Amino acid sequence: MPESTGSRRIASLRLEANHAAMAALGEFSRGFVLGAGPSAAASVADRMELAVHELAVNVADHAYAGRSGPLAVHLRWDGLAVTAELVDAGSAFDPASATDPDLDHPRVDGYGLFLVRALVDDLVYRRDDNRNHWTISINIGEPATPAQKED
Amino acid sequence: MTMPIVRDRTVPIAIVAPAGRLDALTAPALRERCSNLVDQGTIRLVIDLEAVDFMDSAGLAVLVRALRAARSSGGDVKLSAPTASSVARILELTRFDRVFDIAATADAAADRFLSTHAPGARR
Repeated sequence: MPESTGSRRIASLRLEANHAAMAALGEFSRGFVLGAGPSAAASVADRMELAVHELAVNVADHAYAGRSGPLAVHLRWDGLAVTAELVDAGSAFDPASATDPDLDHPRVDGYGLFLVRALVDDLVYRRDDNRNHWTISINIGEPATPAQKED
Repeated sequence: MTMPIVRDRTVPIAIVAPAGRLDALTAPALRERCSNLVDQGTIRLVIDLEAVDFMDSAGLAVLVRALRAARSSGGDVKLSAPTASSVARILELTRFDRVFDIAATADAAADRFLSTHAPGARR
């Protein structure tokens, strides 16, 4: 369940990284964003849901090579941005394996990370303590306060 | 996933209509369905996205595989009704909206096959 403190809101989900778990993960990430506040439009929820989904599928298919394994997803809303961190204990990500597709020549694979980059405002990958950490964020911002509007 | 097929046209056309999530879990079934249709000689497919509310890169892969299979047999794949905003967005981001002929409805997509392949057919 999400926890709220003022304009902060956090939630975590732990799951087995496999394709069957993705619908529940989608509900989790989408529901979190929609509950973050009136400025978190449905389009932001769409973007975060798909970005988290693509990273989680990559974890299942590549980090765990289809054998499933634990995945933790931490979501945070701080009033200005929604951030997701995905942590898994699978094999390390190889950046050389993730070249952007040539959009003039559609292909069968290679769109996952491309989509994530296109959907979010910030993407960071790090390998720490034998775990992969993917952090993505989408800026939302809050409308100006009444005091600011008077200026 | 409901997949009705319409064959009551001058040119055999299959309208395949997945529903709900078209993602890594459900994409293999649609891939097999499209592959079987092409293998059986139905090389003009409409993939109707009206009831799809979420699509990921695995869904995109199915569209590309179907397109390649159909075109290699002399046919084609048209899309229809990507009404969900998330589905429209993924098609735009990947420029699939330029690769595929996309119609507002499945019937309109099928009609485009008729106008392309049977110029004399009544509209």
